Amino acid sequence: MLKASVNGLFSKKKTTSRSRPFREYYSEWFNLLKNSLLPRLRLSIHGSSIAQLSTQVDVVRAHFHSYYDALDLAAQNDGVAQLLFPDWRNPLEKPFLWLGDLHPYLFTNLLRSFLENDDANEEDDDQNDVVFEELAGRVLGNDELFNRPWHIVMAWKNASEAALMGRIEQIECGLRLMVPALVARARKAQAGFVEAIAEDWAAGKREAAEEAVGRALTGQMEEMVGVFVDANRLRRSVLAEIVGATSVYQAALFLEGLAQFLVGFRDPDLVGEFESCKVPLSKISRFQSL
Amino acid sequence: MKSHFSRKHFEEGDFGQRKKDGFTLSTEDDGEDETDCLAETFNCISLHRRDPTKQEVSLEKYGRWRQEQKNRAAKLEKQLKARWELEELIEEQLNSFHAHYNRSMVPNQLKDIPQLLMPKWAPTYELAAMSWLGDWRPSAILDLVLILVRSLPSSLPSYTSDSPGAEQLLSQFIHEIRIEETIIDEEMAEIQATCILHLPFGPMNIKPGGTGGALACVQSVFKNIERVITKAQELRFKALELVLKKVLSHIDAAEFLVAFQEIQDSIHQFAVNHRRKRGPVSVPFKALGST
Repeated sequence: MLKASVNGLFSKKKTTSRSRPFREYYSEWFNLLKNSLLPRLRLSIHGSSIAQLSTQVDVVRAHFHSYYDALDLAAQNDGVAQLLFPDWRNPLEKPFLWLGDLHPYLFTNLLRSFLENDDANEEDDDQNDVVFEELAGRVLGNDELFNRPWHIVMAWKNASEAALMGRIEQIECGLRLMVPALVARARKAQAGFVEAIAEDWAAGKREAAEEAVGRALTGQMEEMVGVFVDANRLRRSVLAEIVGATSVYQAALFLEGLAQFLVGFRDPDLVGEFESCKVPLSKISRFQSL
Repeated sequence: MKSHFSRKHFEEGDFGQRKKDGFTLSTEDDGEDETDCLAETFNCISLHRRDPTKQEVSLEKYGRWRQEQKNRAAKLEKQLKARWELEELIEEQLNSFHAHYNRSMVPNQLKDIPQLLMPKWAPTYELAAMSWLGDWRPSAILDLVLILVRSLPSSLPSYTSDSPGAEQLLSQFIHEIRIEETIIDEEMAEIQATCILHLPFGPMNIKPGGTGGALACVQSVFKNIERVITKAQELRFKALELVLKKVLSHIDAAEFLVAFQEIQDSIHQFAVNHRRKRGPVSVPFKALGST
């Protein structure tokens, strides 16, 4: 792998712009998020400057956008198959990839969880202070972060909550149309490929089967690039709409949660335990939805 | 048909020739009337001949006829046996699909799940071409059969006999299997879309106290994925079973199994070669924009 990466890094394509393996790019992108952007966002959440927080929110949002741009670029360079089944993702992450990355509903579900969690806690009016502290603690998942500024603790408690819920519903309404359409396009592309191969086979071109596969795949991959790029466009636009529809505090907490989630997927201890776990699945009970 | 036809003529000609050479028994000096009478008798027991006046009865001829019948019966028996063998082979193949999809390729441990969804043994080109939850898309198997049924009648008489019925049946099965695929797709999408609420590193669900609790949480989410994979494998087997048992005759089923295998092989081979030539996917340096 290392050899392949090095070869890729110093590849023969001197005439075009320099490029590097996506695996390497992703690792760098992830480390930047984990080691620099997420800590800086957290610092700003603690800080008192709304301008600084706003800047950090923009930086993290742009970081996610740049990742989807990079996916698009790589896909158009004959890489869509590898991007749909990325071997640089660890075994814990792989099952949760939908068309190569996070499912777009995940973003709206995260946003909803902040609002709904807040509603659930509101029912306990008697112990407001305790509840808010607990809310902040759970949101941030870190004891040190209990002492968050009041405006952050109150981020989901402003008057525009109903409007935000309405906005989420609009976004989800769009997703309800677009997600199944993308899945159907991917399925049709696969069916088209199998049909083309079968026709060639039936026409007696068995000797040139590999050639026929190549021809049929070229057509199918073009369609898969389209599907993948559109899936990324959807993810990008949902993120942009969420950041656009929320206050700067809400957006900061949302992006922090999302970044923390990605970091959690690559926690070496948890991934290690996952890989070495010998407990048969038959002895585990299913997760019951909330 | 053509070859059978010409052999029949040859045998009759042969018969006529022998008579001329005098390889006959006892009737040579009998009167014409008697010959005619015998000829009529032979006509009655349906011996094939063109010219009744040339009929001769001989032990050798009868023996030869018996031998021919024996040979033909032996050939028929052989073909019947071959047919039974073909049926057995198809049954065996179906059983092996059952064992593969419903026993071997179901996840037992956590790490099996990512391995089944993105198997290392299949290059990404192969996965992108046809995989659905890690293996053949069930409806694509039926799409493949439909094309074969439509395309092969000219070379395979057995397809023509039943092709309108088979096509109709297949279209109906494709419709039904696609609905089941969509249901499974939705279940998987639900897990993928809500994992941020349930995995131990989602902001609402962070588990205190080390990774022990976290792993238990991961296990229960993966248990849901296991259920989806198991259903997907069952559906793949169901698609194959429908094709082999309900749609195709044994000959056609055998043809399909050969085609299925060869097509799979050529896709795999192409994908392996492509991976070797293509190398890892790359991205221009400028793409890391936000730093």
